[in-house]
Amino acid sequence: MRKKVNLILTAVLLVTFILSSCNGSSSKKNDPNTLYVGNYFGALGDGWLKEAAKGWEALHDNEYKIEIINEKDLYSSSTLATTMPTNREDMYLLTGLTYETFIDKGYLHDITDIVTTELSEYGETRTIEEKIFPQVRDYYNQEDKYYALPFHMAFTTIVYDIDLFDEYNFYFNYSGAGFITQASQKKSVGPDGVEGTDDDGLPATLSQFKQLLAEMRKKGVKPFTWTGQYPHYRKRWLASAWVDYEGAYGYNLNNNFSGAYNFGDGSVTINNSNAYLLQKQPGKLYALELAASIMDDPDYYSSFGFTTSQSHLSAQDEFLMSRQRNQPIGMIIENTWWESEATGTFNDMSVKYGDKWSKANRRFGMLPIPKPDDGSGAEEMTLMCTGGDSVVCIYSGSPKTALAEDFVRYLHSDEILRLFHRYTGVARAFDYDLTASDLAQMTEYTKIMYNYTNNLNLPIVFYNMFESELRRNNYSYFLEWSWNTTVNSVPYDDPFIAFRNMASMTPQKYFDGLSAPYSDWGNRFL
Amino acid sequence: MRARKLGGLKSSKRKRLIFYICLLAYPLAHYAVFYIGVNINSVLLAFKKFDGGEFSFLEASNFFANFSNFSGDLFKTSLLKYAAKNSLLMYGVSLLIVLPLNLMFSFFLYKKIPLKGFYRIVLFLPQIVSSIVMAMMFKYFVERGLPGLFSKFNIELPTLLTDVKTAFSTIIAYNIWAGFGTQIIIYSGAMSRISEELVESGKLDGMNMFQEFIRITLPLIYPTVSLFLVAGVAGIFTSQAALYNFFGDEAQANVSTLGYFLFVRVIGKSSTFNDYPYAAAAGLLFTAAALPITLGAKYLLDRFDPMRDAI
Repeated sequence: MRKKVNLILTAVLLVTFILSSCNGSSSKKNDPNTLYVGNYFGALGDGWLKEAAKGWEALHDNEYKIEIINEKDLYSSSTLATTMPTNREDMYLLTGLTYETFIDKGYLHDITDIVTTELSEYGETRTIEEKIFPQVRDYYNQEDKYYALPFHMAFTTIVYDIDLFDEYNFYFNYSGAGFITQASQKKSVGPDGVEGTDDDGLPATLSQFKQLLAEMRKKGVKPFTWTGQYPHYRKRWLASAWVDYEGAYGYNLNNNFSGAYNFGDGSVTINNSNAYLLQKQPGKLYALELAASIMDDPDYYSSFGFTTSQSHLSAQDEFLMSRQRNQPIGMIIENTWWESEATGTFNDMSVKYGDKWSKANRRFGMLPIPKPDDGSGAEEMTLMCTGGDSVVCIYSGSPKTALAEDFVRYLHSDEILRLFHRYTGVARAFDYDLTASDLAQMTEYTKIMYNYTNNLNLPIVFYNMFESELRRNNYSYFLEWSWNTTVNSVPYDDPFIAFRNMASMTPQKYFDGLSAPYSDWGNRFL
Repeated sequence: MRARKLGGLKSSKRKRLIFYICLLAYPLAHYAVFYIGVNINSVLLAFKKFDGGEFSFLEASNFFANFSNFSGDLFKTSLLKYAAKNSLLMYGVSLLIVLPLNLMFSFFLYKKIPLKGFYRIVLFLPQIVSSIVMAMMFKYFVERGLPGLFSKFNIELPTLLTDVKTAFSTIIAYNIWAGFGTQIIIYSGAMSRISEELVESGKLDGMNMFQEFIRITLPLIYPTVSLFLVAGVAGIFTSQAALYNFFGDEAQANVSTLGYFLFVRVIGKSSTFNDYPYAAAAGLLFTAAALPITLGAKYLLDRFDPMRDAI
């Protein structure tokens, strides 16, 4: 009897062991009529994709099915580099991929044909290639071939609460010298200098920005909160201030290490031998001044913004619920998709406090980077997109590349590009127009963002779109390229923390130390 | 009859041999692949580069580039200098604070102080609970609990885990707290094997508790203590001091340790295959540094073993 029990137990353990080791998408059944789509399951969710999949299946009279495989950590470049050949997924929608490495490995299917053929099956006269934003087209076009398409286009910006700003009249008056006292008063023209646009009344210069912070504090409103768990939010916003100052050409030198730049004492040709000089771009000093102005007073920001227990979701809660907690907060540093992430909080609030607090009814806007008072830097506004390496791609070893190609074309028809935008509030780097019906379904914030990213023809740079081979091949070395500094032999990589904790730290000192971490440039690269 | 016996013997021998082979085949294969194979691969990796989608050996003129890049960073960049300083500091703390505390608590448990079972559980808890859970508990305690408590007395605490002046000290405090457990179990186990008669005779000679600890307990458990000390030396280069649990791959530069630096290079969200040869070279350099230190420490500890002459 005992022998039998032992045998059974051993068999059960063995089966469990075998089954557990087989737990992977590669070992699951691969249906020839099902297209397996790997979806990076982050803030964008999969609602839009389910909707798109349904439409595509209907187009094929349900002869083919789409199975969405949602993953997050398993879809990092380093993991996919080993798992892509054994995964079941035929194609992927990813938030980041080391594009050239995957091309070199031969994992990406050549999609040039479908990208350069008119989307006539959807009644369109343009090709996908013609719709891609010119700023990113060259990156995806490798020696006249396409292996992937850009996925999403997200921006890290200051989001301000329009309802709160309206209530407290946090807008500059027409002369720009003070604040309006009544909503009916005419506001200043704002950073774009044009009357009647989204940024009217918002601070146009650094000194106005400082004035706004002081005014908010005076009226009992805390200007800022942000996540403390992910310092890259605030650091990326700061990088977008650097971008805005330098303009697209000046900033892109940091991605391509190739071109002329004038540091004020004559033009220098930037190349692999001297790209460390870019640490001295004045745009960095200006961005540091902006950071210092926020850290000037502890009442200007929530102290939770410097705790590791404040996730991006907790920061959103803190921001959205601030008025209910009697500590109103006017602004948050967030990514474009933040409203989508905060849907739960919006819903809870509308149940608890009424429909006024629902996502559809609350109004938020983007506060543009204020320009320097002395008029230095680029005149026009430049946006910095953080999703530069996000891709839509097909695995070259998939037995269903033709089916995947068909779905990729469908995803890039105007109708589905609009569906994506409407659902997520996030833009794609393609030329398409939202209809009045689309806009009616979107929140104020996503409409404003759409206006900035798709309508105004503003220059857009892509944060992690490295054209320089040197930069690409030394990714970790350049990881903290933006804010790595050494002051008095102490390394810092977060200007906000440095200004908060070190009383003697100034933007100039921080700026002066930016070159130090790259002092070994000659030994390493020459 | 004789032939059958011999055949029987042969057959049982064969069966035994098959049994031993079955027993050892898997662990040996595992060791060969996942230890020997992996280590050979990582040694080779230190002389390679990642280019064109695959690893290839560096050109002869540049064969040691990964080593020179890392040693250049170590001596020239403040980030790695700081990481090295923090790693040494962490080892110093484990040597001068964690070890004595562990010995002290182990001795108390061995001496059967009241509620010893309770203390044993409390002190061993950090080892049982997942390290991520422990880090989260600690995080909320220092970032929400403590400031809330101090605010009752109108004292404003800095944000301990991110303030430049307090961040690394707070990490050290966590490591001290989380460092209890394994050592206590092993030390108190070693202490429990000390002969009662020896302790009794010491007491008859008028020895107090402190003298008992110094003259009897410590010398008799010295081999166990020295084992931990020697193993700890290797930790100088590998311990990431739970930084990843607290900060993911976004720890501030001034709290980094050598172990964390390498960990993030290989595991971090932003790591790429291009980083592997550099990390492999750093690992080899660390091994080259740790080897003489470890052997030297072992030699010295053996030399100063209080029971050396007795043995």
